[in-house]
Amino acid sequence: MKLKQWTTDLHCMQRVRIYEGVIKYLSSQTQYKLPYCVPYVNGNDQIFIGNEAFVTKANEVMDFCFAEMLEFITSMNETKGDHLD
Amino acid sequence: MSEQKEIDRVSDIIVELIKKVDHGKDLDKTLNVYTDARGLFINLDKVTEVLCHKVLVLAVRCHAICKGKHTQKTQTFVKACIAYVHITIPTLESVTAQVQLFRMTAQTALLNGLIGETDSLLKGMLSTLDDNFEDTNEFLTMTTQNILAALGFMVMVPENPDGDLFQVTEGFI
Repeated sequence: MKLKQWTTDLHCMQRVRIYEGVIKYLSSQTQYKLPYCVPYVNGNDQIFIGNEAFVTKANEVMDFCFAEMLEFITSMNETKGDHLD
Repeated sequence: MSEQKEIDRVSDIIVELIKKVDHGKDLDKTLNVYTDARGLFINLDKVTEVLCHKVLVLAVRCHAICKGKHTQKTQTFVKACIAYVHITIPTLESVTAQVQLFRMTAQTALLNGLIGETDSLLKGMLSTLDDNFEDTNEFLTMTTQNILAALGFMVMVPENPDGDLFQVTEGFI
């Protein structure tokens, strides 16, 4: 996705909502038991049980999302003056 | 009456007729009717969209009939239903309808244990959003809503242990 092209305030809010959603999804994947599943379909909790590479990759993506959100908050702070009367 | 109004009126009549097609437990026969209807009304988006929904309903009905435990025959039927929708979606003009149908088809595929199809449908949804990217508030709001809904669904989707992990998730960001 071309999230980098989303520049205005509203776009940034949407971007943050997506990063937040990704973090929620990845944190569910790193749990020992998934919150819900489909009958007769093995979930990631059964397939990747005890798989270090899986958890590491999830943490990497989560770190990226946190860094992006932090960058957005920092840039928001810098442009705060533009929004004050 | 304007041309668009006329198209809508005709589409509504055909949709009503399609909704009445039901061959009971002979799901194959119903799918054949839908396949013929798609060929006939491919230029009417409203009809094509309803046909996609009806085929997904067939797949879910098949799942209900065999109580989730597919035989070779039912598995083949469900795969045919998913393939039908997968190749029909790009013929639609509306990006929103395409994205929603991709997501709905992925959900139906996973329900029937078709993990490979689920993965390719999610990638299809992603590439549709990417190819038709618009810098408008309406589009971005629609994109966000669909991505969040897809993420909620992806909790149940297993990753391929032999492939790249979180490929679709990385595609979103």
